[in-house]
Amino acid sequence: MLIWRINVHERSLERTPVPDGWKTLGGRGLLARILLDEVPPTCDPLGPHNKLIFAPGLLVGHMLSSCDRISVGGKSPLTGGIKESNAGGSTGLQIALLGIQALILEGAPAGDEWQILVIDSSGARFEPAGPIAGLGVYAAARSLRERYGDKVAISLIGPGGEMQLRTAGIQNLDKDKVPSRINARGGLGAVMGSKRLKAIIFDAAGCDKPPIRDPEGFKAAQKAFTTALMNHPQTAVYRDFGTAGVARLCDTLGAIPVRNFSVGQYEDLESISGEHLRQTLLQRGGKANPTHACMAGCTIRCSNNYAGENGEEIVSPLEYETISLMGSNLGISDLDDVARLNWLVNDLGIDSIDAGAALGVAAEAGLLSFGDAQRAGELLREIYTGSPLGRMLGHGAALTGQVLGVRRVPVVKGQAISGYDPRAIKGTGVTYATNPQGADHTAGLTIRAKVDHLDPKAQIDVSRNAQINMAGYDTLGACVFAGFGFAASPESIRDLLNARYGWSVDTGILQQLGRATLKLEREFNRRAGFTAADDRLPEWMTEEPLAPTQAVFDVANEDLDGLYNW
Amino acid sequence: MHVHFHTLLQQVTPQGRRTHLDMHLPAGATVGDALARLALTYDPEALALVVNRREVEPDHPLQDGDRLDLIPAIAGG
Repeated sequence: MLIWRINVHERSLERTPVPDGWKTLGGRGLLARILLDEVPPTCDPLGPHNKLIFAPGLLVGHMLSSCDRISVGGKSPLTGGIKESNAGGSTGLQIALLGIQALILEGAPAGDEWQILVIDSSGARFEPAGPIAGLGVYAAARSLRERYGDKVAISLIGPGGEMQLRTAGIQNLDKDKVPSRINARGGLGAVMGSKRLKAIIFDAAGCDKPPIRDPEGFKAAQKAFTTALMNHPQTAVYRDFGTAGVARLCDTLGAIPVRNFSVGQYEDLESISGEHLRQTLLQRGGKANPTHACMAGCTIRCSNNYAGENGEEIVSPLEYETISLMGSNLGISDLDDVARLNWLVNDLGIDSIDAGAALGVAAEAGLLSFGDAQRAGELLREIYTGSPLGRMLGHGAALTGQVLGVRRVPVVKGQAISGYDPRAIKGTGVTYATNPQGADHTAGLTIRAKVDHLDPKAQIDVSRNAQINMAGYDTLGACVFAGFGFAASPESIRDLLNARYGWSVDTGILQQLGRATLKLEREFNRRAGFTAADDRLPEWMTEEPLAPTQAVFDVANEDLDGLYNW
Repeated sequence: MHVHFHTLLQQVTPQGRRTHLDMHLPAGATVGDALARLALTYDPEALALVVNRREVEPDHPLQDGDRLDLIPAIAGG
């Protein structure tokens, strides 16, 4: 494995051995190390000193179930701090097959022309994007597949990334070539736009899988992990209901975001539930499919293909975060409407969580009525035009709230809170507040912890453990849902790493990786100017009771500040 | 008391999905007693048990009018 370093100004490629200090890292952990080593923490996120880095996790490249994710990182234009966002699809596998431990894109482009970066076993080259620039994600992906074929992986940006909007993501093809697996959070698509890259093509034709030091040991560990994953009760729930199965749980706990986080229980929950979604897709037939894998080899298959009444696909996947932020959070109860809004934000190439939160804030300010899906779509289409209104929304909930003078803005470190109101699931609130990534459920969701989620004194340990484990999984390249397979077979992580690399790590390796990653990320943020004041939820969430539990976020500040004292 | 079923526990019948049912239990009955009465085939160890929006253990006592949610293992979205 090598480090590939591409300067977009010089259009040069340098391939170097992996430095000693980076060798035992991958994915999120490696991103944190490189960013701390190479990127000035106070730099302009959209300027020449920021870097955009792609790093597959340590276990990527072997079609291990749910473990081929790609981490992308840089300094975030949304939070001003460190950012890692990972995605499924085919990019992680292809980049690992190319033998790339990290792809570092640096410098500022010399001109304004949009480029496509093509990476294959012979090296890297820039090609003019031509008419592909300016296209929405779906049309751009179609054109790119026509130009480069169906065997490549593609990472691309949409109009949101081209406009360097702070909620812009980077989209990757799923195993069926749909460009909907998204490094969505924190504006990394804007960083890619600042490098004037419309797309990156990863062509691993002729490449072999990464070497395995002990193939028999790896095979045995893979079998143990896969068996544990297949036998775990959660696998069946995600296979049948996808992440949408969480909607009823969140409603039950009084934590589903409703009408800009003003209530935690939704009167139309049945119509947006995972159970309803599954029944609808089974009844509609055609291209509707409640069970779908985003990555080749995944045995969980939590994704879906959402089709309309005519059986034609509207969007794939339709997930809980989008259902909550663009459904109940906007008072929209028809999943067909949510699916169409989801398609729009995908085509724009922006984060559905932050876009949904921005629309919720806009609704509170009177730019649309809650429940008006047509108006929500009109507002999103403003982003295509680059109008001031569209740009405001595309920059996310935080800026939208500032411009419109709304106090109830659900953000931490400038990034929108996802579909779990932290007043009713306080452990996740601790994660939102203290994690270096900003509000992000994937950084340490606590909803499954055996704890009273309303007890403010029971949350620090729960959140700390979740944050450490997630930072570890993100360093492995493992999906969060692979985590329950690993939890049931914890020795399999040790055995897989030792077999793959010839190491001698013990079963504590997941937590070691997680702790080291969080420490690096926090240090980057400290050097960027973050203080304890940034590790707080919005003040209104500590004062405004959330119906029906009437909970406020009341975890003590000193407890938040002590979370990292391990 | 009212029992609400989530995901895999919702049975689809010709009359539609069974999302909940009402149950009468003797005074002093617990969540575990309700589970025994339901005789679910699902592993109770893999269930989250929530009474009136708070996660509880099987020995939690039930009162008239309580809402019990039975939630097969799921860890978020």
